[in-house]
Amino acid sequence: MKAQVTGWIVVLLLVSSGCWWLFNELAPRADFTAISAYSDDLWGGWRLTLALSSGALVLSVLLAPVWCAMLMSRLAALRTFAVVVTELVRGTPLLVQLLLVYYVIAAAAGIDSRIGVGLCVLAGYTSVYLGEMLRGGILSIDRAQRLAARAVGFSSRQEFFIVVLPQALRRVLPGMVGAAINLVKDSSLLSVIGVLEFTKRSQVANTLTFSDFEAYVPLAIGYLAVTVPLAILARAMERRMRYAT
Amino acid sequence: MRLNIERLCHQYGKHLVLENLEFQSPADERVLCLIGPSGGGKSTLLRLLGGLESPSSGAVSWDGEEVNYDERSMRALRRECGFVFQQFNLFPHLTVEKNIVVPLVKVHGWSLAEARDRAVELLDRFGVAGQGDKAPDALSGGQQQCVALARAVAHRPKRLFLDEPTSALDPEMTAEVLDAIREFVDGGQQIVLATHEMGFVRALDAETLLIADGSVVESGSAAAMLDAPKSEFAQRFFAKVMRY
Ligand SMILES: Nc1ncnc2c1ncn2[C@@H]1O[C@H](COP(=O)(O)OP(=O)(O)O)[C@@H](O)[C@H]1O
Ligand SMILES: [Mg+2]
Repeated sequence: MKAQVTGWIVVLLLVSSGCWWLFNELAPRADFTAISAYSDDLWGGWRLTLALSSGALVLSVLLAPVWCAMLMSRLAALRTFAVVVTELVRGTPLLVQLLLVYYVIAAAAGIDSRIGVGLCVLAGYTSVYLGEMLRGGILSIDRAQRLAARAVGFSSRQEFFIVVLPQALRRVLPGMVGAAINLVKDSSLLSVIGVLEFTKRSQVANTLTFSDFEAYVPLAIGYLAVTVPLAILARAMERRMRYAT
Repeated sequence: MRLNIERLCHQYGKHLVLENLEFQSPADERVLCLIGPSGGGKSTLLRLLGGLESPSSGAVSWDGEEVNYDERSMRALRRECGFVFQQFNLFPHLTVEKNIVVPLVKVHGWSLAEARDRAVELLDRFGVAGQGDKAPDALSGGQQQCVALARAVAHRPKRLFLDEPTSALDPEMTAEVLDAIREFVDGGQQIVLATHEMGFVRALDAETLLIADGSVVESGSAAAMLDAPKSEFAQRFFAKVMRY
């Protein structure tokens, strides 16, 4: 308890001195008049980031069970395929994947939708992580639970959907929210293939107005506005799960 | 029930857990007790008898009818049975009441209202009335085992398989759970019980199988076996477990 209070005091001191420095040293010299001409662009970029993240999140949540099923499949060929894809995706930086898919694969296929390609790569990348998490969650369910499910007469379908999956989801949900946070941040990488999302717009505004503070502090705050609520959600879930599994 | 087991073998990987296990019940039994050292194969045998797993080889028949170990028949068999395990194995993400209600509705086709009434009735009978809305983890071990018993008998199974139901309980709760089992027995419920409670086995005085190293070392009525074990192994085993 005492350690916790001390901890909070230290954190508060650090944060407030940081803010003090930011707003007393830098902010008075800040001049938002130049960049305010681009406020619509920035606002549009933020909304595009939000839309891209939400879209990719929905897609990856739909795709994750497919990966998971393949990873756990009885068919060795399917399993091997899924393992290879998983390791390829996890073994290369998202940045590289974006460049490769957009400039090599999509270009060769004659596809020129930056947003479409960006969305798909982001969703594919995240879905692989989510699928792997899901698999871990399912495997973590005690054998005794499966035995009990069979003992009460459940079919293997019911065993999975009534007993195994709900418990697995409870265990992995906080981690999945964490993956959603990463997704929001990772969407900034779409700027490298020219998607005019929040980071790209801020960079453009920065180059055109030579304002650093005025472009990048709002940029960080814009991301935090999305990720902090998610982080709070994840913590709340974790607290609840501690009692509920 | 008349149980017939012929050359039953079961292995996990390379580990032979049951080895040509043989047994014929001498009469129409109501209760069978399985006793013997840990690791001897009691739980494995119970799982095979109740259709939770299929044996590597051998045959089991109940009342002259051989058990088919294909997935469909095993499921049908399980539905006629009730199981209680040493570690309760309640579903932790469902409330106490739902642990009983969900199988009744999803497996046995009861209406929700019927199932709820049955759950309330059983929780009341097993001394856990009013706990239906709690998570199983919020209950004591003894209470959880009572819920597990309630879940096992809710659909009025023909046969009950109890795998060391009191091994994880303190003496007081053990007595309560044993009382409940005694009540079932007196009510005519068919039971196959694996246990280390020698006093209870003697009190039941049912047909008893001493199982060690994957086969039946000795079988017969409990009192006779406990008082005058035939094999040297049985003599040593009883001397050990009843020393204190
Ligand atoms: N699912 C399993 N996988 C591998 N080995 C098992 C499994 N279940 C039981 N065994 C092994 O089988 C042997 C018999 O176990 P068990 O049937 O639980 O005996 P008991 O109930 O008499 O203590 C033990 O050696 C145990 O380690
Ligand atoms: Mg056992």
